[in-house]
Amino acid sequence: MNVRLVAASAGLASLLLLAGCGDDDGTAATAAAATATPVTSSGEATATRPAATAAASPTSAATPPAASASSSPPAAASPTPAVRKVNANTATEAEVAAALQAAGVSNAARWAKEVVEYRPYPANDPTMAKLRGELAKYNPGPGVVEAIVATLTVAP
Amino acid sequence: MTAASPAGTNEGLLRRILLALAALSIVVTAVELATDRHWETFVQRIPWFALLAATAALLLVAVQPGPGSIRIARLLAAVTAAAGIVGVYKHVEANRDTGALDFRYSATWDSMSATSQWWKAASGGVGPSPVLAPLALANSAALVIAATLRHPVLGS
Repeated sequence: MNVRLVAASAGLASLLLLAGCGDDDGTAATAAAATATPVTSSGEATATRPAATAAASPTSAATPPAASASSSPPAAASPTPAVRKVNANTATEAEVAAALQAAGVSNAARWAKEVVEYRPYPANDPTMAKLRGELAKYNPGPGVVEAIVATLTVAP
Repeated sequence: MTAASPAGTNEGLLRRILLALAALSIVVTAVELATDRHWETFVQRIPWFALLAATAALLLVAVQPGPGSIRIARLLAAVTAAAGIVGVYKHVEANRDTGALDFRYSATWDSMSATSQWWKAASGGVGPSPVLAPLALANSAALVIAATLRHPVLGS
């Protein structure tokens, strides 16, 4: 057996295993930080991260709370009024996309595809932690995950 | 394996080391896939089938080496390696498809050139999928194939 071939294989093994274990910690951390920003409770978050808010969409779900907070205090207590909820487990991708579009989520069709891909969601988890975890991987803008979850339900 | 390998030779020792590294690579890859819950969709289950093929190839070489089983092991290892290469493409493609969901690019992704999109997706600039991680499968396959080179049962 060629000893050089053996040594090269062993070296390749070590390198690839190390590379494979690297994963996406940086992305996950960034996404977690982004989704943790409570933009629905105050307009302050949009003021501190203007670039992120602008990048998300001028019609994203992060915008309505800020606007309503400045115009009418009672509206701030209900940050997502008139959101039509669809079932995350049974709605079609088109229905999810339509609901997200109506809620002002940018790239609604792409988000809908991700929502459908990671089914099923546990019916006993109204917080939709599984979905939140999956969506956070994509490094969404502040408030986007909240806006998506607000349009979905897992109730049978 | 030991029954067919010339005991006490460096060649037999190196062959066993290669198979041990292949086994380690398979186990580590399986653990990594499990921690990532890499089974949500059919495409995500492909590496599990590839790992089964790699395990079968490993056992054929280690437990029951013969001219026929060595050829089958090489074929299974080649399939595993191919799955790894396809996996790299699928990871890059997944990163590209979801690039618009990243808040940094949500407003600009669709206007970027295809080259820029593919480059960011392949270089870790966007998306949650680790691009080179699937090559761990190819690594396992390469180790198994290396262990079959100039195998005594194949003759000279």
